[in-house]
Amino acid sequence: MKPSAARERTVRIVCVLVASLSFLFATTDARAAGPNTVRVGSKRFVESFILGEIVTELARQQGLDAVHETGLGGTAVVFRALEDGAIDVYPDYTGTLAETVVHDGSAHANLAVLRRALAPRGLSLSDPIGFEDTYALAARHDVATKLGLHVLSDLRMHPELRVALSHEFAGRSDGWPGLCARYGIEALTPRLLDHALAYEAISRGTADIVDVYTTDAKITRYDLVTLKDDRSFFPSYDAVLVYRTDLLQHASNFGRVLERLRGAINAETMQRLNARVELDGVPFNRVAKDFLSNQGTRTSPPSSPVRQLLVGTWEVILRHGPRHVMLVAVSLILAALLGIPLGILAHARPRLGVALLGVTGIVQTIPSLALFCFFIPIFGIGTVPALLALFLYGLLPIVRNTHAGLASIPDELREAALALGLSPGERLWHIELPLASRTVIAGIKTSAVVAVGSATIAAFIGAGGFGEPISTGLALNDVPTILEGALPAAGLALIAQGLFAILERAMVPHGLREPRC
Amino acid sequence: MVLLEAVEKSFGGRAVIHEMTLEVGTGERLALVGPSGCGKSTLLRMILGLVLPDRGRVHVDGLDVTKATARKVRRRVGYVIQDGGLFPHLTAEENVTLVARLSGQPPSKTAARVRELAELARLPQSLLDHYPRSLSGGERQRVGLMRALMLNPDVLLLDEPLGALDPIIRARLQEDLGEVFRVLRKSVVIVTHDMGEAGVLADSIAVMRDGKILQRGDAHALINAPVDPFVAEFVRAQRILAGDRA
Ligand SMILES: Nc1ncnc2c1ncn2[C@@H]1O[C@H](COP(=O)(O)OP(=O)(O)O)[C@@H](O)[C@H]1O
Ligand SMILES: [Mg+2]
Repeated sequence: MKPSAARERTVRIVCVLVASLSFLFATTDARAAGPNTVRVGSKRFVESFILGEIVTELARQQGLDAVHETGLGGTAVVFRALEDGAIDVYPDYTGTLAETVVHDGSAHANLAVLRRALAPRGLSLSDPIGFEDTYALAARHDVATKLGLHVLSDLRMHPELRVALSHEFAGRSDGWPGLCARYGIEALTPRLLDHALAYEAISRGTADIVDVYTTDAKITRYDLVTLKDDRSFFPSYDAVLVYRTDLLQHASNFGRVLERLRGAINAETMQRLNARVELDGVPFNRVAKDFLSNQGTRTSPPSSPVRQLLVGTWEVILRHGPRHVMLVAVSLILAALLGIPLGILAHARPRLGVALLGVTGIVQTIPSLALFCFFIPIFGIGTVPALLALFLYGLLPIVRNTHAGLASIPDELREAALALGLSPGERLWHIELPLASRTVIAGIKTSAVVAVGSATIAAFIGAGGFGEPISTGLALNDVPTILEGALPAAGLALIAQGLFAILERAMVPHGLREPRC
Repeated sequence: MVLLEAVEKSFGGRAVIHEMTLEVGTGERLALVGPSGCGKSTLLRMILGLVLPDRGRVHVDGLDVTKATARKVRRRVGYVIQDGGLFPHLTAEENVTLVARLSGQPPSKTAARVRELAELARLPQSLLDHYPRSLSGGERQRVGLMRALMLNPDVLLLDEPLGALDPIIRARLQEDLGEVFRVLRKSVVIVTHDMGEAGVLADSIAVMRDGKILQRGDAHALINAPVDPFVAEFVRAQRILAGDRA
């Protein structure tokens, strides 16, 4: 009676899991998916976070349902998300948009030109928010003094200077390549770093020159000298909101948000807001709220860092935990539901098996962020592409282990099952899968632990989870915020290990367990 | 009843069974002896349809053994291999009753049959809920025999069933097997290395070499009237060994 009882139990466990997870899935997603919700995006740096949060708050004050998808990534990802309708609005800069939309950074595109280019794509532009955030190069103070650096032309004499650039600045034609050509400074060889890390390099003395934003709070903190753009290379970078034209139809109150923001923030104010987040460590959503209630400069009372970390971590667990678990569990169940049959197929048809294992192996080697971004054009941002990518990652260990588990069954047992006159289905279900179960479960366990880790990266495409504080913390170069996401993720990986130890006890047949001493 | 008609089998161009014809009548017990690699196991596998002959036919109880009929044939033939071939994830009883349960036999009938078989195979009832890993080699063979007999097959095939056992257990199990064969009166084909064993367990002995049956007869005939020098040598070598052991 035991094999069929075990099978019933397995089926029951799987049913309960699927049911409860689809419930979890439904409830966690309802939060983000109302039809009249205004979805505000932002790029992955402090200023964009603050502006995005201000827009979100203003929309809420207008009685709109608004969510802020933080840290989607760079311009390419966020603009794409806007075009695909995954978000409705995000803050950007005229110069950046000219480069992205008109593909011409030198056009010094004015608002009218940009609006004309955006209209056919169903996108509109707000009036300027009131400040300009243009690129500039800045030098360490001591270096600037010693070499007498004041303007960008001065760099030509000093090819030995160590330049650290953000990826985005280094890549765009209105960034480093254009700058090099205009100033004849090709002899300088830049190193590419994450923007936040570039400041670390400067403060450690391992870099002399970095690219900065003119509203950047760290210019004063790291004692940098901004080099004057004496050949006026950089186009204007007026801050604006880009939004989907149809937004005003389904959320007409949003017009008031646009009005309220026209000329509302000058460069000085923006630098102060940035400084509160970057230098004082105040959460950006708090800074946005304070700005709107006109108490912008008050700093929050300090509390012990450990206590703050514990409280922050607990809040992150409550806020992002269910979503992270949902991402892992749903993708894992899907991966198991497809991976086990694929493993069986790979074993039954060896030639197809080689191809299958090869293809799933290749998927595994694609960097997770690349895989996530690959799905954006097809599925937009958020839960669906994240689940799909996590599901694909989870597939290989399960397919491979199912195949290996079946292949390791001794020939004489295979023959014994045949000689008893069992049908192929009976052999698979009653003999081969139980014999392979330990290896199969080990494969699912590997997938689970990988998924817990990969799911943190899903936050970069707006799928939420513990990756959200991590990506925010990375953008802010704020270690405690990173830890608030990383600690629960590590904890979840341990819990997954533990759960699988229990699952193994429940599912691996008695006779296959190691005899205990 | 088992009948092989001019069967031939090659593996990778090498002939393993040469045009062979063999009949094992109802209730008849045949022992196959011969050096290892001569094709004994292949012969048993052909009876089960695990290996299909290149030429010739195999009949079991009047059924032509083909790919299509193989499963039906296998349910009428019991098969015991060297170390029992028990499934490690099932208890002794579950191993024995697996096929009966899957074909929907009522549990009460199954349980009664298991008790009966345990008595016949002299397996203590207390061992029925043990997993194979906690059974001795001899106990595993008894369970393997019970599993082969569960559906009351007409034909019983045993491939060196005592081969992996130490001498004392082997002698006891040999005795018990002989008793089972006498009681059940099935067609039996048993592969063994041991002429003595063959003499005790079977009515007739077939000596094989290189895929051919050189001679078939009772122990007396093989000793006193070998038709082939190889048969004479094989029988003599076996007797010397038996003499050593005694
Ligand atoms: N599936 C197979 N593929 C290739 N060669 C095989 C296969 N089965 C058996 N043989 C070969 O056939 C010969 C007879 O094997 P077998 O019947 O197992 O011999 P025996 O049982 O008498 O020792 C051996 O040489 C063996 O290597
Ligand atoms: Mg053999």
